[in-house]
Amino acid sequence: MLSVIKRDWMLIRQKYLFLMPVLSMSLILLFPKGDEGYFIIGVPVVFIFSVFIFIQDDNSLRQLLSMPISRAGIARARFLSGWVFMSAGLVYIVVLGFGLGLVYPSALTAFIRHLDLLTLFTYLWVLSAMAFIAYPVLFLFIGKGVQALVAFTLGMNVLLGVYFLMRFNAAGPDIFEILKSLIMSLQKYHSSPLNYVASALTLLIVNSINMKLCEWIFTRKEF
Amino acid sequence: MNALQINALTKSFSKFSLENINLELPQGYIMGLVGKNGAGKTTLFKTIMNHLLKDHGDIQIYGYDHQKDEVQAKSRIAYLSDDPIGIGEMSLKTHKDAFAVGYPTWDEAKFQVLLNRFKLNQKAKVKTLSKGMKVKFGISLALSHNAQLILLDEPTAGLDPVARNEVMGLLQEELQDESKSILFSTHVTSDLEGIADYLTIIDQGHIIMSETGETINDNWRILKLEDLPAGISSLDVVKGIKPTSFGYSLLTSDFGKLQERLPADTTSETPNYADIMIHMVKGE
Amino acid sequence: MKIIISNADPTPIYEQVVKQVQKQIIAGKLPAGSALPSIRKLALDLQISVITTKRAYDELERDGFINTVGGKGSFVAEQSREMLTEKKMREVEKILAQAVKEARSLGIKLGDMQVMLDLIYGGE
Repeated sequence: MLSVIKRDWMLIRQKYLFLMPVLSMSLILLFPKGDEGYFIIGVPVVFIFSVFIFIQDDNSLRQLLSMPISRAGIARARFLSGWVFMSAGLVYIVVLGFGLGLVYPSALTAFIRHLDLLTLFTYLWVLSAMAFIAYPVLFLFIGKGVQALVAFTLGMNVLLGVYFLMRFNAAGPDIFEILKSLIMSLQKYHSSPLNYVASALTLLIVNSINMKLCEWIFTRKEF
Repeated sequence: MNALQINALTKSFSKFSLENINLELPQGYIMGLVGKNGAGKTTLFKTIMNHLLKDHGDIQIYGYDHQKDEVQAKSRIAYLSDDPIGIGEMSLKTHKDAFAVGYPTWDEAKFQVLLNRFKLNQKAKVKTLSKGMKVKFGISLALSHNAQLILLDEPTAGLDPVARNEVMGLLQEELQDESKSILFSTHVTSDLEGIADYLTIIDQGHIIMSETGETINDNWRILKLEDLPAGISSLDVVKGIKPTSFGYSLLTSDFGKLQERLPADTTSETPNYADIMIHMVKGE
Repeated sequence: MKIIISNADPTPIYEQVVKQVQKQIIAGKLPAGSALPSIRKLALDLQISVITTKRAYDELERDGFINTVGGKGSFVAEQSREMLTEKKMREVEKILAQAVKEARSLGIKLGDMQVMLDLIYGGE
């Protein structure tokens, strides 16, 4: 399984890891609004990279399927590999948060204010929720060609674009208000250490279920 | 011990299906799988590899079930798909590294020998390779992790005669190690003449014959007949009849059994693999 | 060992191998005890199938011309040369008997036949 993750990084992810700061930086320059800093960086990183996680051409995938690794093993490895990648994204956000602070001092204070356990848990919950939407869909698309994945990515990005347009354009209604309130209530929940533990356990369970779901889909797919 | 054993395999699609495939490849031998384009060769390979999921039947690789013992089975298989090489921007070396990672048995020294032999440059990008070089690169990868069962889907397609000869020669060298077995598909029967121990023909999703070259030499004959004796076409040993300008050309799998029903002066000749294909495979 | 396979020859390939090995044993080019190439090596060199060479070796072994030692390979058997020569002699005898039978039926005398034989033998 480790070999799959290693291969995954060699072929696909390391490239996007370099792409990540470039993308994030250009987003900072596009939306230089201090207090929204971590949102501006965080959301696209989460979206773009959770979507890019499974981009891989079918030939390469077939090669993977020919190797002495079980299908379930491949699905697990790719799921975990995606999480490792998203964690790397988290590190980037921290680094970029400071970078952003250098350009926009007000962002730094906002960033530091948010940089705590609560932020980490919010981030993990947002990622897990997105992974729950994106992973099974992506696993369904695997083997259907790059086009399907690109279409999915584009769709997500268009949605993201609409979101930002609405956020920065007071005239439009914020259709993501529900999401925002969900995040607010999530943050309210994390009020005691016990709740943090419960939250961490739930995160584990949610992701295990998601991983099992991906395994289930992947072992029934044809290539 | 059979390197590959397939029993009663079926796999259906909406427009095509593999039906009741039975196949045995003993350890140490090379089998050529011939059929027209679309006959089911690639589907069969993909089903053995479990890329396509079978409907029914058993597939065993050196005794290991290809689904229940997937890891054991696949660690014994080298597979070259019909379009083996992926991302064109990668160098051969990167491609190799990503490939080798999956195989604990990777043999770098052997890979280097093959690269040199095929005059492939590791630093070249995959997209700069010609079709023939891509095939050679794919074969070099496939043969470098010491698999015992080598599955090659159309390894000679698009190759010129010189490269074709090189590739077939290499396969025969692999067989020097008696534990290795090879199954390769082709739609060119001349690839098989001589070196293939077994000839298997697949047509419209059915295996219509699987025999050793020696059996063919001993028992199979092509007969030129002016008239067809009554009832002859329904016999088991009559494998195909083609009308010709002189009468009929008949392919039989057992000339001895048929002889008494035929005129004494019937001429017979040993068929080559192309003759067998022509007689057995249905036209469009 | 030198073997040349001809695809134009209607004789089955395994038989071509058998005959040429026998010929070389008679000619003394393959003395008793000398090793033959492995089945797979010969198949590779001649670009013929493994099963074909295996069959040729099986045939040679069955007739006692070679011995196969498991794990070591195949060797020319002791006395295989004498055996072969004897066998070939009998074949010549048979052909001669045929010729004599034919000659008798045509009324050709022994003396005339001897002249014929001298002529043919000497002409070679």
